[in-house]
Amino acid sequence: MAAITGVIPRPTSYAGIWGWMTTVDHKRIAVLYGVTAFILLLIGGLEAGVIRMQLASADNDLVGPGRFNQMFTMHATTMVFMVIMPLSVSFFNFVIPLAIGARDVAFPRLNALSFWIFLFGAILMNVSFLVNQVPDAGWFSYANLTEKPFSVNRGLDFWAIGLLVMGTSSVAGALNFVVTIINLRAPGMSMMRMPVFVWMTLITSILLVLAFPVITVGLIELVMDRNFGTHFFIPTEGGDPVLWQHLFWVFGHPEVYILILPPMGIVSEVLPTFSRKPLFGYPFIVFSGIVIGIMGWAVWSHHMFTVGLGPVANSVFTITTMLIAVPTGVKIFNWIGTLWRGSIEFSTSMMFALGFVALFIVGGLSGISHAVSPSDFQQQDTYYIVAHIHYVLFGGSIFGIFAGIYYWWPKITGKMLNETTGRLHFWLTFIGMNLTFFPMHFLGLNGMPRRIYTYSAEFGWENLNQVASIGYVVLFVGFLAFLFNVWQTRNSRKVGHDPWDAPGVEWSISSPPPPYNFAELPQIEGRDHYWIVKENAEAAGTPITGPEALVDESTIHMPSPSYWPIFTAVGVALIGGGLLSHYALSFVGGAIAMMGIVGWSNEPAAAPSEHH
Amino acid sequence: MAHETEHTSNHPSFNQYVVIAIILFAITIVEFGIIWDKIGIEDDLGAAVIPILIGLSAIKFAIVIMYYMHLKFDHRLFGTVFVSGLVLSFLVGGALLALFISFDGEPREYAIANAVPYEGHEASEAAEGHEDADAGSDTPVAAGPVALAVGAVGETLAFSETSITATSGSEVTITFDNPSSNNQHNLVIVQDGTKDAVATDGTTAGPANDWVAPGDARVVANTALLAPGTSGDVTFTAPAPGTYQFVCTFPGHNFTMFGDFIVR
Amino acid sequence: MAHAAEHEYTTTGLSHRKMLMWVFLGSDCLFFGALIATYMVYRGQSLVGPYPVDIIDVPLTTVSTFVLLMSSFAMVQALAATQADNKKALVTWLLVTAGLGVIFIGFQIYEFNAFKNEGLTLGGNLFGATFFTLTGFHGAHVTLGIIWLLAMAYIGSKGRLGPNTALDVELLGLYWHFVDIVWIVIFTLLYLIGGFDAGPASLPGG
Repeated sequence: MAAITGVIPRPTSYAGIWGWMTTVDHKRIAVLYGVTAFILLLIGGLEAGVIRMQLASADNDLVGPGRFNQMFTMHATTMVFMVIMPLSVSFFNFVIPLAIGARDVAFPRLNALSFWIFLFGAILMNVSFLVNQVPDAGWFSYANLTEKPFSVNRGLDFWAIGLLVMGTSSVAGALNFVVTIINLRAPGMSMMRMPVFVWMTLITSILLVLAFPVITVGLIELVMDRNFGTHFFIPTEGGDPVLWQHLFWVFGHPEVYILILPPMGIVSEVLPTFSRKPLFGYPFIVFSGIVIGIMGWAVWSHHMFTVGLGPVANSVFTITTMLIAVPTGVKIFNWIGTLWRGSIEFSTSMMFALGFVALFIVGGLSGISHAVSPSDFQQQDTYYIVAHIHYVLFGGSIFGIFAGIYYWWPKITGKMLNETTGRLHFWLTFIGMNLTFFPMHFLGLNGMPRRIYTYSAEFGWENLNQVASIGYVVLFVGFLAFLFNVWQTRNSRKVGHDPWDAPGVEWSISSPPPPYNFAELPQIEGRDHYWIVKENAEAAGTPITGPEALVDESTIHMPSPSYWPIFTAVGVALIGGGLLSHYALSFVGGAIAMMGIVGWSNEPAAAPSEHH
Repeated sequence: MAHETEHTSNHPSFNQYVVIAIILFAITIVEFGIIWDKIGIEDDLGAAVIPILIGLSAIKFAIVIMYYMHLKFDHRLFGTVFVSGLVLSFLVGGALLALFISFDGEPREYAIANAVPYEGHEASEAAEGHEDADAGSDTPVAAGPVALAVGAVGETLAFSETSITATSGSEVTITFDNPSSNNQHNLVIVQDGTKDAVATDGTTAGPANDWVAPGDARVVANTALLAPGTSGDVTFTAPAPGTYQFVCTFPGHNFTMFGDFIVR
Repeated sequence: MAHAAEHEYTTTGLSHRKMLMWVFLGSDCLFFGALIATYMVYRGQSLVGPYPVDIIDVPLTTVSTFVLLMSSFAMVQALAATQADNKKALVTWLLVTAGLGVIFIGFQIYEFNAFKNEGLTLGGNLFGATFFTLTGFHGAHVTLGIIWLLAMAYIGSKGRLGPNTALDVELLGLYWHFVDIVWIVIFTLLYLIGGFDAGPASLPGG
């Protein structure tokens, strides 16, 4: 087997496309995730555009019902699994090692594998458009609509297998970050000195490794029903479609906390920086995050209040769901406490963070009304739920992510995004978002169901739908403003290592950081380590004026690039692709993956090298 | 600087491992003894059997984890990490079972109402007549016009016959009786091996077409869609000799409601 | 600026890879938990036979359970031999573990075949679907373990396993023992308890 590694020499440099394909550097992998996720954001956004244009007027015929079903299915699946999750992972990748004072993650090649599997999985799912067999049963694909007599083409197989492939990526990545955070914190960084973003990443990663196996089983059972003759969800054979719902939502509810906790972590970094105050109530924010992670397992059937579980089950889940609002409220009050009497700087990042707090509160309020099962009976499957989802996922997650982008952009690229364009981006997004989704509360309460491709004018829903569709256009322009900002600042002046005068240790090194991150692993002085360091230096009369000095790279032992991750990922993707076309391909993929694993294990983490 | 070293100092000796293996073996024997009907303890224990078996298995489980997986001697963190996943799976699994068993009786009633006893594999094979072309067919083979009767069985999704026969070229009339009170059925004669594909296309065709795609070349003949408690028939010429199937193409019924139509 | 290839800094002093394996095993608990939950939910829901009582062979499976338990013993010996730098013993015990694993899979194949001949199929009834899926995925885990064992035996025979690389054997051991304890749960639920599930007449309340 050593012969395999001898055929193609191990990559040594970072240059060119091959350098990107074989990178194991967390900073580069972060960029790969970020760019891929933004392309998918565009695709998911266009899918939303079709929805909004079709619903803008009554009795519209822009698209037919079949295509419309595909649009809302792919819009949601794309946004949840191929946009928000990878954007969060992009931040995990870039920030976590820097924030804990490490040189890279615990398993750099596994990190690369996660990205490539994600990319191939996302491509696999979107290949469904090329063969015109697009998933169309909703992003939660309730059985038994998803079974063969009713969903006859391979769309649902694309959906299930695409998710199985991407799930592998998520679990591998999450395993990596759990070990990284537990085991690679710099000396002096106890758990209670970790930045909140690091805490939220840890909790999210634990949720990922525990929740994904459950939906994996559900997806396997669905694929088996559709292709291997089983009857797990077919009622006429004794199977139960409700079991699918349980398996999906036991995963699905922790999943929504997976979507929101990292942006909450980002906001917990941004607010103190631009209030020039330490985070208020750090232990409460940390513990409420832990409580949310644990309680998130006890509320899943609130997505199933109208299924007929019975009054006892409904009551239990009403209570648990109402209780889980408490830790979220605790966070919000602590964020407000951070702002209180702070010296607020309204940078674009800060505005997105403030927008997060405001909009998430709105989403949370509608959430509380869902928690109460009798009122949920009125709201379920109406646009009221669509409003809730988008206030928490767009107003929440996406706003938090943009706050993080504007905050850490200088650290990643060494340049600042333009503040004026950023402000434009913010206001267009904020106004557009509210224009699009606020009317949906009323539409829902007025009875407009979800997932209908058109409606009759006599319902009186047309005006609010038009407002929502106009809001979409505003959002789209806002997104273009962001893209313009990125392009506009590509050649702007380089900024220093610490443009915000921020508290995290990642700001003590150059922007962008050297490949080895820290010349010497830092000794962490406390929470808000860099503020403490800067204050002490100031007090000692030797204020800090620049980043940690760069050193000769060859003196630092870093993991070397490797082609095994992308090689193995190709194998995994072929296993999935084979299941969708010719089974022989799956065996080929399996063989490639095995070869990849063998080659990988034979390769040391760092090449025995020129550098000692 | 902390190191990646392994604790090799405090783990059980060879003899202790053998003892552990013997204990695991013994517990397994005890478990088997409890349920072995030749000993017959199970009836005496009554409802306590299940907790006892689960308890014994839990002991085996714990022994392997603590000693073989070394968790007793290792850093607490490993134990915390693993046990969290373990406890969660028990809690969530338990909640799921509670939801299905205690609070929702529907599936169990369906099974009770619709399940059929199992008479053993040979008996069911003979009844189906799949293996032996001559067995299981009660209807005589005639050269002239042939009348065959098939019915749906009660509320179940099954035909009363698993195999019917006719002579190629004869005029066959199949009278199909649907005695159920809830289900609509049809009877469709199809080319060998195409029943599921025909049913799939039939679903797209919809009820107006009796759940059969118009002009489907794989369909030899079919009855109309029969409402509950009605009968209907179809007359056709038996095609070339070979094996065909008859199937009900109401969505979902084709999985269990079919049989062989053998033409000599 | 010294590097230490084998002794990299860790916050807790514990091995990255060992921690990864334990977290992974915790996650695998949820995977098998969901499969077992599906089986438990569908107990008694099959509409046609064969039902468990008709075909489950507890004595046979008790033997195969014993085989798997003994393979865990062999695995522990393999690790001890690695730590004692005894190359011959470690390769032997790894091969014994793999051999016992192969015997276990042999029993599984025999059982699957016997059940198939009795008419139990994936699509025939829910018992077939849940039984084959659950035990099938367990068997797949065992098979991957066997491949890993054989690979390690090969590496060991080349002299590349010893006290310094004992962690590699230990990680394999953790995986193998986990597969064993999952089987303990499956054996109890599907065979000792569920093995007597019959058709409709004996359902509670039926």
